[in-house]
Amino acid sequence: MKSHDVAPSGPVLSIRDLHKNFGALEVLKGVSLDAAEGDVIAIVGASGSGKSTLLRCIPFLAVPSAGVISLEGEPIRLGVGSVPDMRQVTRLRKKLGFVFQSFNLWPHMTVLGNVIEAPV
Amino acid sequence: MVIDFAEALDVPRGRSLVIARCCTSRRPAGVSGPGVDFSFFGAVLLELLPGIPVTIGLTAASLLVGGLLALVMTWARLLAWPVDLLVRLFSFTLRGSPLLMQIFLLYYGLGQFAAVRDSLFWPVLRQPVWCAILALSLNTAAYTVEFLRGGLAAVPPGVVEAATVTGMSRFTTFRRIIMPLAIRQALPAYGSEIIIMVKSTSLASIITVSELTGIASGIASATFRPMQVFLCAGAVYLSINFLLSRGVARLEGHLDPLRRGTLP
Ligand SMILES: Nc1ncnc2c1ncn2[C@@H]1O[C@H](COP(=O)(O)OP(=O)(O)O)[C@@H](O)[C@H]1O
Ligand SMILES: [Mg+2]
Repeated sequence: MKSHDVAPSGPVLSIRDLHKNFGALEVLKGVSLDAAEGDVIAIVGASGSGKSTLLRCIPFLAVPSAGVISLEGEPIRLGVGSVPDMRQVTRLRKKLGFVFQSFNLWPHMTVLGNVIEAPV
Repeated sequence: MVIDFAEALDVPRGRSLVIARCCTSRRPAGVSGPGVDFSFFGAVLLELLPGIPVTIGLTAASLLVGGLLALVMTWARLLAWPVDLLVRLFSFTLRGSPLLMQIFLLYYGLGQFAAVRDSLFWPVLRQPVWCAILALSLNTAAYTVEFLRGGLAAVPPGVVEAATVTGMSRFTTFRRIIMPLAIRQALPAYGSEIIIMVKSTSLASIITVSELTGIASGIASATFRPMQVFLCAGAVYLSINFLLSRGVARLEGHLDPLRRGTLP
């Protein structure tokens, strides 16, 4: 995670009271988390407890039902009916890195192509 | 019922003239007597030469226009289901009816309407070459859009998520990730489409376009040696398609990083 322009003390990533449900199934019931620069955080839980769902909420691959996610102090705004501002989300996504459980490499690109695509 | 024969017989395109010219087309040089005469093949080939750029031009123009149309339709059908329905209908209609009939509809059919004859499209639509290109383009677009649909279905959803998460916009994801993968998937089938298109251009001869087949049938009826003439023309089509299929095979290799010789 890049965070050159943030004070070393403030959290780079901050999650407040995050909720996510798939229909009737409530997976995240108010998760809060702060990540400062250099932090290594392990999220531990049983299979199906919502670890992947929490991670997928950060870049809005899954849209949270409620709660606030801030990157470098900038909260991602949720409009009416929890619809995010996609322009802002796209911009903030460029600051994030994400490794999928199943990698999801782009098969039509070389290793080099796969590596350099992300920061572009 | 009253039929206005003056209207019905209005032949503004000089078609009868062209047919007459076809039948009296000059004999290839060096043609005399029956029997297998190898210099005759050379003479026919020479006569056919001007048809090659026409055939290739018809193919290239149609593949270009039809391909772009198919790309646009593929993008548009993902946006809203009514568009998808329209694209399906278009594809079904054009794949389900004979190309020759589509060419007839455009060339003979459209000229029937005064509104079309008075429109600013008429200078284009009255020319057989443009009618042929239009019909061939629409026809290949109908097939290509289906190949691309198959290609799209083969793109793994996770790969699209990976693009999303790096901050690509919807359109960039479509252009940089989804489309290249769909095209790579569709390319082997599209190679056949290219070859079929080369052969389909021969139908343009029926509406007086002087491509390979048109010239060949002119020579055949002037020399009474259809066997030699059409064998010659067939060999030219084979040569064109041989080169094209080699090109597609190379492109397939290029789109697959595992088979690509060097890194970009
Ligand atoms: N897209 C989805 N639609 C419906 N239910 C889902 C979806 N994604 C995850 N779930 C459910 O949410 C729960 C948490 O899943 P997940 O976050 O993948 O767990 P973990 O990664 O901790 O094993 C599971 O019960 C799973 O079935
Ligand atoms: Mg998981």
